[in-house]
Amino acid sequence: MKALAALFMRDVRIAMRAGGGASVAVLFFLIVVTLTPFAVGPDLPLLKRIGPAMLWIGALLASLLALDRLLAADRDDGSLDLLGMTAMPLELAVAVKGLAHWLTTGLPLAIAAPLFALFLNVDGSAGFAVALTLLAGTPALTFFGLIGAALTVTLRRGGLLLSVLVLPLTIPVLIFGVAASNAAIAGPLDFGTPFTILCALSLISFVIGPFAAAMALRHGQE
Amino acid sequence: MALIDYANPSKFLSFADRVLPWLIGCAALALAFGINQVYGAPDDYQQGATVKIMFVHVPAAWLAMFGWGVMSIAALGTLVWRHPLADVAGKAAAPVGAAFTLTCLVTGSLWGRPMWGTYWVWDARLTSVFILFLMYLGVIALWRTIDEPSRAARAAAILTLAGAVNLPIIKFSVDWWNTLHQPASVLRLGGPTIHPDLLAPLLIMAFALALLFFALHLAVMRNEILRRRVRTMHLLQAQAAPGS
Amino acid sequence: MNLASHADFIVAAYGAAAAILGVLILWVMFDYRALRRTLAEFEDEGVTRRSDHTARSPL
Repeated sequence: MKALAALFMRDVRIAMRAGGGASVAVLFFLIVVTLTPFAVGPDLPLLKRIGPAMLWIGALLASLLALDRLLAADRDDGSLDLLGMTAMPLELAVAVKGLAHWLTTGLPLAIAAPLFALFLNVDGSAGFAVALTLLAGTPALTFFGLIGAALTVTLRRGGLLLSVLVLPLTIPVLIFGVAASNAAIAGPLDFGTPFTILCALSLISFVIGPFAAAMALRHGQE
Repeated sequence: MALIDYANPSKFLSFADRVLPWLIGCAALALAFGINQVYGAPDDYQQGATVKIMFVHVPAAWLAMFGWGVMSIAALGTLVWRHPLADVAGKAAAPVGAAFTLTCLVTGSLWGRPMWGTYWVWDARLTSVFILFLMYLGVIALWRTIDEPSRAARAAAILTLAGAVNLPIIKFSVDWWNTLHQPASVLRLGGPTIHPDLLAPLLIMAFALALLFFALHLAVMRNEILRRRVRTMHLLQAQAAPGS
Repeated sequence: MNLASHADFIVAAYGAAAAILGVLILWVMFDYRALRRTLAEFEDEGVTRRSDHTARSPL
């Protein structure tokens, strides 16, 4: 337990440090949001309508790009091999790493969302609704992404392949995330239904992600 | 004969050499018979002659999903039993399954043009199959990226199983998303209530295409074993080369 | 609605299916021939696998 806490603190500290790259994901998110009006035009009603969807796409891509870093640095300095040799189960170690990664990447995205939403004419409670769905949905992105990160960790240039492998798995998260946001803002639909399913997806990913990732790491090290 | 006997690649090769001609012959005969049946099948009262596209579209969709099932079983064989043939079976199923998935998509699109007036609608079924196709491409990409065959096999196996767990979730999500955006589908593609005159040719075509699937799978497996031999030879040659 | 009005789409669908599966079949066939040829070349050069050594001793 102590070892897990130490691992957690170490990962958080590395990510927060200069060059750790936690802030780059938020910056990337901001740039995707900025690009949207240039692509579709500064039409405020249109932006309001597609705003939640664009915020979700931006957050999805930002958390995906950050995944590359999740295990690669540990592979480079050899601490990944050490993790495999310690007494603690690799599944738990990987889960803790995923949690630390979410805390430094997914959570800032969710916190930044209400502010960035203003640029897309999604204001007030609507922005907070999007942030709430991101808060519930980004863990699923991180933990499904964990599988792809573990599969491609031994490859020199796995970043692009990682995105190709992980993106299809994130489609349900995107569907229910955007649906819940829209339900909260405009929708005739009840906010609870898609939001509950979104939470369920995150919980499922908590189970599948670390197990599959640990399996991939073990088999990759042989 | 036990499955373990075929762990020996030479035995499997001779098995494949013996079975393949028969399998190809049966598939060709069944396909010829099936197409003949399709030609004589009556038109649907709603969809007219275009219902003939169903006889290749729906079996292709079944085999697209079946292909992922084959890969999942092979993945279990790779990870749990470490059966060397499972690696080969898993790798060989990917291009065959992808080809049938693509067939399903293209025929569905060509069926949609006269029915929906456009080549592509984000219909729930088509969308799910499309995502399946993307996942096939992902698995193939992973196979091609990792050089070492047994390591690639394990990575692809884990991805396949993760995909198999996620596929029902994706299917459910897409269905849910679809009902949200398109309240009622104008056309049901091959529902359960199908006229018997149409069902017989459909099943015959499904049988014929399944035979083709098995024949192709076996042939690709045979190629894969030969490819591994070539790889071993290259390695041996490199080791034996002077100055190394 | 009769066959004539949509015959092009039906023919196109079957043609596309035949083309996709045909490409796969051709790839498998050519791949097989190329692999067999490479293996035969190796055999001519005298490179053999360990499991073949009993059959044709190199020394």
